[in-house]
Amino acid sequence: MPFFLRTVTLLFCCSLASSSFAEFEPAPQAIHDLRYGETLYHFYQENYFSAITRLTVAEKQRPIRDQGAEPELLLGSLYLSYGMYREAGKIFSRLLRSNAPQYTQDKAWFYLARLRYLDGHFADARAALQKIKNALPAYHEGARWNLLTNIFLQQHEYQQAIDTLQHFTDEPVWRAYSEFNLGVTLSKLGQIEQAQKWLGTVGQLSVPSDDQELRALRDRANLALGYTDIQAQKANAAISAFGRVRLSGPLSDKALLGVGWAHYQKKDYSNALVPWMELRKRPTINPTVQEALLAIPHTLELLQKPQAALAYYNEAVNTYKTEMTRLANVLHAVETGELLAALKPRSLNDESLQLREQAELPDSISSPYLSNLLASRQFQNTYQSYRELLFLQHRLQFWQRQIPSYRLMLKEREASYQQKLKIIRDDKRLAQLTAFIKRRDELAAELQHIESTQDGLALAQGKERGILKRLNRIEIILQHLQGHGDYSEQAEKFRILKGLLSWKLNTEFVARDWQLKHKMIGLDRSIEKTRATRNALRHSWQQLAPSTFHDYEIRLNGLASRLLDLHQQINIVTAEQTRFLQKLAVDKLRQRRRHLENYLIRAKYGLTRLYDKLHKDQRGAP
Amino acid sequence: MKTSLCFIFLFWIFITSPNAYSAEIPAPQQGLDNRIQDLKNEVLELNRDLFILEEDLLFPANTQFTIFLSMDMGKLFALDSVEVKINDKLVASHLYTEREVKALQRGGVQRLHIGNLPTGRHQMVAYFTGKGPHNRDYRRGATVIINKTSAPKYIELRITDNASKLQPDFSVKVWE
Repeated sequence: MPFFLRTVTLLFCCSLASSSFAEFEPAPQAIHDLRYGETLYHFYQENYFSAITRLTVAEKQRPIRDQGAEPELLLGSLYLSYGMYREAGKIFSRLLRSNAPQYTQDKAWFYLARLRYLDGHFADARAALQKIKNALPAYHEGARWNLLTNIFLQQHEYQQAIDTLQHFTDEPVWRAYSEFNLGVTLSKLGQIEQAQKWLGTVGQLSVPSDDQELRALRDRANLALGYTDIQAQKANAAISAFGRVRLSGPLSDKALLGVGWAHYQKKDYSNALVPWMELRKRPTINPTVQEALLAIPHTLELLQKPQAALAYYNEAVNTYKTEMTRLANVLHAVETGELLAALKPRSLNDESLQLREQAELPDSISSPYLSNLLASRQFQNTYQSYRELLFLQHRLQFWQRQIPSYRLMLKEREASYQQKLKIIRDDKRLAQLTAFIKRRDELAAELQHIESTQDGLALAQGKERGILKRLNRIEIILQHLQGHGDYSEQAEKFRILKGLLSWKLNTEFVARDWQLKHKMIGLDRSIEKTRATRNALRHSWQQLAPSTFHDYEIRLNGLASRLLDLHQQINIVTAEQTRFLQKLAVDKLRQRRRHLENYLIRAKYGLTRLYDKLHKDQRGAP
Repeated sequence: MKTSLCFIFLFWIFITSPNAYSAEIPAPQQGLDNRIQDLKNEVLELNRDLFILEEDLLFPANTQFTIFLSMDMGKLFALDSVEVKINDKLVASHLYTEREVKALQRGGVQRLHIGNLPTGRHQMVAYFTGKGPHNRDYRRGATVIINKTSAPKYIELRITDNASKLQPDFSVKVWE
């Protein structure tokens, strides 16, 4: 990894850690609603867009009720992480108006305090923090006191900021940030001793080797301490502080330069040259190296080595000229869009990929010149918004591609529906229901007649009906044979058999009647069900389906129109953001050019002055 | 010369090194930031509405069938991939990234599949592949018979650590 990348990556780490306040830690509870779990899945991958979408879809369809106030708190936190501060503020305020548990309210006050701080409303932020009643989870607790320290620093209440430090318990990183901020602020105010105390505390922290964030912060503290010591004329202390900056770290150049200045302050010019000569071997693109190139001949002059100084002034002039030519080319490249092309994410399909890319800087000719800019919070925020806008554009393009297929799908469904409709409408089975109902009514009337006449024989079934028919025929035959012989025995048998059947049917009349009634009830139910199905079918083809197709069409048209409108707006804002990014880069490069021009003038001035001196010395020589 | 050189450098270092707190204050391009916030909100709302429309169109409630995957602890099993078959037909498969596994281990629930299924009984088999205890290759299956009614059906595939057996457990929960 090129040096500038290392530098910027570590600086990125520092600033990210100081701002990852939106990290949401859900209250420990089981997942009672899968949609909440799904939102967490996206949230933990920092896919904020998808996470917000899932939660808001749930909110619109069927709000999540089984997870307490956590989904609402999560949504607020998601908006905060996604840079939608006003929406986040609305949610936290709403939560605070509700009967949310104290744990949730405390968290909401904390987030609200952060929002107010970001808006520059420090008094309001402080008031919000004061509303927190109980300790927050460890990470947030550290962030809470760090925030309060920063508020005090913004309000110039330094003693209170110092007093706040006693509240830190766990999370040493937050305490270290607070101490560092305090040290830098006091140093700027000229309160050198106090500044040294706090910067020294961070600078001498014992940090595990795998804690890159804290190690980077410790380097920064030592660097700031070293320069503060130089300001306080404490050269030896400065050398010690610079000595604690990791040689392999991204700040080693600045530390080497500082060591040189500390020796210079002690008038130990020979030792001052040692680190600067080391710097001289490093890439001259580095502003620290550029400064060393000017400091070397100046110090050589003091060591009464004018010829060597002359050579190094010449080297500095040539280097600055070369750098200025390169810088002009880079400036031209940036002005013609080179950096922006490099800054474009490689892929917009994977939402999480965008965030991972944040740690790496594009491989472009301008990047090394913009390392400081790229590490600055302003550029990061602007670049983040730029990428988010590109992602939003990408989403809208995705939906725009989908809309025609939805239209086609609806059209085909409607065509298929029309085809089926004709078949269904002409289906003869639908007309049969009327005949069935007529038949049912006849059966009901017959049953009623049987009941009223108590006609047990009418309830004969199966074999009984056959026997009854045969008995009826026998009765007719017996009537015909009357007067043609003695058939009394047969008549007696007939009477007994018919009597037996009648007795059976009459004794079972109630049971058989009940069974028939039961069957009639079943028949009525089936008819009713069929009638309901037929009616539903009719309702479906006559009213429901056409209105569904119509509703979908209206929804689709409305969404397509919103899509078009939003796409235009996004394009305009993205163009503005692009210009702003470009302006930031160009301004930074121009600033570097001014520095280089300044160095060049000074080097040329030193050169001229030295030539004059040597010339005068030569003329003055006997 | 000495003073001015020192001054240049000190001035430069203080203005260029980002201060952890002051850098959090937003940049002065407030107008553009506000417009971006508004746009984000509008796009999110539109995305939500289109998401709902898509679900309504493609996965009607009466045939909708969704499979989720969750992990409790996940210390005894390092998930690599999952395959789901319904009635012997592959309907979903996923290869996990480290980031996704971490999100699952922290309590996130992944929506693995959404599709349509006719009413009636169906057999679902899920195959989990990864590394088990002692970093051994591990492939396990979990089977369930689903009775799909006209209501949407939600199935959760669960990977849990069985502390007593020191083995991962794979189970299926049907949500009503």
